[in-house]
Amino acid sequence: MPAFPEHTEVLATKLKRFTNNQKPLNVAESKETFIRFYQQLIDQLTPHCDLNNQLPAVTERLADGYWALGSAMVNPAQPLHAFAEELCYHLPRWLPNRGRIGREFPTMVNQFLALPTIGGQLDGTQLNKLTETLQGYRESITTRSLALEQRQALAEQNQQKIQQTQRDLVATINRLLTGQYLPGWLSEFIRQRLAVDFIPLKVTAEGKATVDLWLDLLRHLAWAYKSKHASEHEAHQHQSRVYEELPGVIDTIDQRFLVGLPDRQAYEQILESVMASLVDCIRKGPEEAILFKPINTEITTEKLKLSTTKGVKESLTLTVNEWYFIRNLGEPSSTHKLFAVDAAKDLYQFSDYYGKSTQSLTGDQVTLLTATKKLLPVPCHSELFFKMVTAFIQYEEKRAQRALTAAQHRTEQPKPISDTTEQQNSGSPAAESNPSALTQDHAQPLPTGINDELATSVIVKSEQEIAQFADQIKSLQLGAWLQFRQQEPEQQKLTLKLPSSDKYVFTDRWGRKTGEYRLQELLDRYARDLLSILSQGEQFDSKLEQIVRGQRR
Amino acid sequence: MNEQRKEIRLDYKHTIIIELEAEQPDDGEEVIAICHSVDVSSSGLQLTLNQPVEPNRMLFISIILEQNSAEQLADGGNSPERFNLVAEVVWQRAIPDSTEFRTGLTLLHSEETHFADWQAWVQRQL
Repeated sequence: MPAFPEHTEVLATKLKRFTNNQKPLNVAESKETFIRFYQQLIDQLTPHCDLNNQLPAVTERLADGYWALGSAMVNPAQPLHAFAEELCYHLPRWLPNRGRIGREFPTMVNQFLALPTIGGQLDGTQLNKLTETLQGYRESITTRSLALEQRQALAEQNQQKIQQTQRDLVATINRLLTGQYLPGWLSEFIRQRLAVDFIPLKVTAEGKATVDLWLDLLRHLAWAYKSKHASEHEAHQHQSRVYEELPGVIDTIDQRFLVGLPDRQAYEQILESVMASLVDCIRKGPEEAILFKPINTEITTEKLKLSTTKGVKESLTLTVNEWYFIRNLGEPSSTHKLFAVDAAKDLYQFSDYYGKSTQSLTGDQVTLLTATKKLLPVPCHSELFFKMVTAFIQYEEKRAQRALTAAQHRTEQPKPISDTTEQQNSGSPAAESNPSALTQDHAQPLPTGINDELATSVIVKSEQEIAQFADQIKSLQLGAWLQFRQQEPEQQKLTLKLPSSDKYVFTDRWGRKTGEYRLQELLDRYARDLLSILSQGEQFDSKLEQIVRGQRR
Repeated sequence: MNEQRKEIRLDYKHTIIIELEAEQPDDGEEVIAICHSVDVSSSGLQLTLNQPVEPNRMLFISIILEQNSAEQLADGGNSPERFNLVAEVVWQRAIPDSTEFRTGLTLLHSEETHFADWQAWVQRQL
């Protein structure tokens, strides 16, 4: 059960004031604000767009359910709270997936929407059952994810083993051949192919036998071409050894040398060349040879840039098994779990809701993303609701204070127009034709976070004007242009009207998203004279019509 | 991997009209591109464009059905002439040895578009 802070009682008392219709606050407006805060909370979690059809109804149901509880909403034992908290875990993390596992969460969300109500409140018993089902689902997903993550971590360890094998192999080749003479073509082949192709072989029994055969051959090659660069005495001894040992070496070269190798044809050719070259060593002495230079391990091993001290410091703040919003260049934000950190490589591995590896970031990348706020922790789901209620209370207190100040102001001045309003609306037809609009208690700012710039602006439109504007907005066609004042860019194009929600998506003329607003948010802006309609959006369709007709002709 | 569509794709070559830049009330003229699809599905399409566009741009597009085309005839002549849709650029890559770009678009569900009609039409083609 979640534990609220000690001042829960204080919060409950404050909530009581707002939910019991006490003056000077209007309970209907408070409820609307509460719902808007809750919508913001859900939006912050950036749920997957596949939930877009369900979420507006879910949000409305939760907000309504909470409001119906009144001050009891802050009681951690409320069944609704446990469910909402569980939902806040899944919303930022859930992803569509094939099969039953991908459908389970949306199905449970639908079950929530279908829950019966008793006296305006959701049935607590059924809600508890649903919460338990959702928790069980979370546990099964977590278990499954952990297993998958462990397998991925194991694969990463294997990768490290392979790299170690490669280093060992290169060291062996260097030890055998460095300072020895080999024909240039053979040196090049060993450097370019053997050191790379042998790595996967070394980790299987069959492949290991092939590698051992080749290493044995290299031991012979290390002295086979020596005589041209030796003293006369040494050359004589060397020649004797060539006659005695090389025929046996040539005899050992056969198909076993090719087992498991990736490009048999190339290796067959090289083996034939080696045999021919060794036969020449016996018959007429070794061909021209050069000193074998050691293979640089840096060339063959994967280069992993170690992070700077700063990088390590910043990225140390990330915690394994915690979730993060990550927004890579050109991509929308998505949610990932940090499931492993490889300190040696300075690599951070992330997975998704189902445990599937999503990306690996270096310490430097993590630092950069953190510094640019493109990597942010997903808020703890158990704190979200409490924080939202606290913010709501603070907002309502401010609103009450504003209402009080406005009332005092009205009693002091016969024509109650605030200085800022007067400046903003001097000459405004709306202000002149509806002076009463300025006297109404509409001085509430939008909730913090929706738009801070609007917080200080004042409503100057009458309810009738706002209602008319709502109709105009609803009748706008795609491609309509709106003028947003005090916002960049000021002119924005209506590009999407999301069905089954009242969201309107705007872009600039190039189609880059500039904003997404609910109808109420647009009306709030209009009410403050911060929004107007520039065009109805008929151009695109009619222009296309002309072009299409031109095409057909 | 660029391709993210899970639905069955149809190798239909339709004429596509894309509004690359909209005409703003007091700034700039409209820029329209005419190109062809490489394949289509109920949720997106792949096409060839002669200019680069960044991912995430949301563009108005129109998919034109050729009159008396095999697809239209197969649909009993019931197909509309064109589908007006909103699409988001998901990926783009240059075609080697060419000045053109292969571009992937995902179709966005919006009121006042032919999104549902398009999906139904694709279903009828399968």
